[in-house]
Amino acid sequence: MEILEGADQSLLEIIDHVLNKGVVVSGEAMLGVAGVDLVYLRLSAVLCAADRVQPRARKK
Amino acid sequence: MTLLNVYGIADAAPAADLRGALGEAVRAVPCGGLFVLAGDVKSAPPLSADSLRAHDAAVRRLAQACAALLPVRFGAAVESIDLSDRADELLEALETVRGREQMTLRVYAEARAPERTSGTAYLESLRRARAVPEIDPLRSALAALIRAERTEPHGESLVASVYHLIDRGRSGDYLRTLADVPLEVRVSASGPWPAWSFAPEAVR
Repeated sequence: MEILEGADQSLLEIIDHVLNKGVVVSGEAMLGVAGVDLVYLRLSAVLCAADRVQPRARKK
Repeated sequence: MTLLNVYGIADAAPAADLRGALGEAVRAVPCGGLFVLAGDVKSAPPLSADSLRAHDAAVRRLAQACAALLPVRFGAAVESIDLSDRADELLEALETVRGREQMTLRVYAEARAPERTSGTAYLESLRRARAVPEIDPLRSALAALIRAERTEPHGESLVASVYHLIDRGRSGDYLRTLADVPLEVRVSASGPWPAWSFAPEAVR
């Protein structure tokens, strides 16, 4: 049993809960949206559908 | 232009002064009998690890200050918001999450062989994927704590996510109970979280 707890929960878990339209992929993946920060993910990673973030980012 | 960066939907304005992800004041904007909890921002926060952590932290603060909160996912920076066509659905969801919090399980297993021998067998395999029978022993052990469940089938290796709604303050009991249950599959648990997986999408 693996338990993630406390304030230092993995970024992966935060990504899955906080981002919308999560898509789960296996293996390694790179999350880069709108040319900003990249989040490098290992394991079974949870990615955001870029369509939600990109149109808003372009409003800047 | 000022945008509303939305963090959650509630049916009462929180009593405390709260801060959003960018340190801005969070306002409770009345909206068709509900309140949209949002901060005024000049532009949508960029997608980054820090932004996601800050959004998570802001929603956690709001969830603690509200008896019932429907979290809104990152990226909802909008000019205006209209919930009138979803008010009934949101009010019902608020009742479900009132006084509760979420625990999240990730269920890992060997990939299931797809059963395509017949249409019926295929439908049965889909039903099984959604039911996640691998964790039935956990469900039995946790029955007294679980108030609601959502499942999300995924695929190979990570076969499903299972979200449980429990009464606030019971996460320690939940994790202790779960740790003692022998399972044939690997399960990781995290929480407590705001009730992310029990909130209808309020902002589209």
